[in-house]
Amino acid sequence: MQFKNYGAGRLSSRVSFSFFKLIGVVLLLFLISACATTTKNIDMSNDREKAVMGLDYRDFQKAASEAISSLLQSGAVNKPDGGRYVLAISRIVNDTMQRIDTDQLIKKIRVELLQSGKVVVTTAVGANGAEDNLAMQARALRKSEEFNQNTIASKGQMVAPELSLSGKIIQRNIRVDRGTQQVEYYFQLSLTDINTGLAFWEGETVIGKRGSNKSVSW
Amino acid sequence: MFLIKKVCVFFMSFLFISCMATKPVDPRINIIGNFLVTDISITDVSSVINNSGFMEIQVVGINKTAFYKQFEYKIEWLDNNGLKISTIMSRWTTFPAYEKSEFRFKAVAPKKTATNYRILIRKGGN
Repeated sequence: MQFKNYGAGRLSSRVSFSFFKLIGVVLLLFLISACATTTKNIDMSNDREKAVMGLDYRDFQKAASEAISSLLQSGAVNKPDGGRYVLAISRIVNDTMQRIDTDQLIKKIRVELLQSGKVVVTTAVGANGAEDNLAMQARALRKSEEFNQNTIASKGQMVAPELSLSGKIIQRNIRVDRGTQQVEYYFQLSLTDINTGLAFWEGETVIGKRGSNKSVSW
Repeated sequence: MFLIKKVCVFFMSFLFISCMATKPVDPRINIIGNFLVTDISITDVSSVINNSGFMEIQVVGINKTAFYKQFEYKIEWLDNNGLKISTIMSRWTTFPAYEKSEFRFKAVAPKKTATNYRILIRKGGN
């Protein structure tokens, strides 16, 4: 009987040990899953999350909307005869430590200017060549007998740009103290009258961020 | 009984004052968060059509508190039919309101067809 009791006790202690082990594993798994960041979509119309040291979409939105606001208020895109200006996109220099596609800024400005009804953007001319090469390539079909020549763009139809939009994005890193850094971003834009070479409008948006030295801004 | 009557009168007048305070200068202005109503008040909203044909608006208000505060505004532009115009210019924009001082912000419509607007104001974020 004593042996039996001893065996039952050992068995129950084994069972309770494996039970606690199981609970431990479950708890551990729960903690791991609780700590893991879940993916969720950003509510872009009400994003109140913390700022980041680098440039994010909010910064581009701010810079673009401030530039458009200033442009529309200045009257620089108000053509005297009431028509629309033809705008070409010139060079936008990325002088930051980040790999930025400057279209993140320029596209927003282009879309808004186009929608304003004051400007139309040419994709046939640009500082780095045509944005859309097809306009010129389609003209190479003039000699082709395979194409109905009446459907091919005739000569002298393209419209030359009157205005040019150029700019620069600058980054400055400043050490505030041992643990803090300050990063300044400057979005500078100029609208030049191609005929005279004079800048009709210029704008600058400054975005400053102060945070931990451990945060990387590149 | 008299005390209860007195308390009721007090609460009624408090509610009345609160309701008066929430009444904005322009019904197109919506201050989000009841506590803000006691912090700021909008004193003037003016709009003009600029030389380019775009509507420009200016909002003037007062920060009634003894503290510097940051607020955000968002303007929704509407066309003749009351339809919302999609634009990146309709975004939450931070503006400063210095203690016991007047503040103002200005905005321009994204299109000539924008003939009306709705302004939302809330407490600033981060």
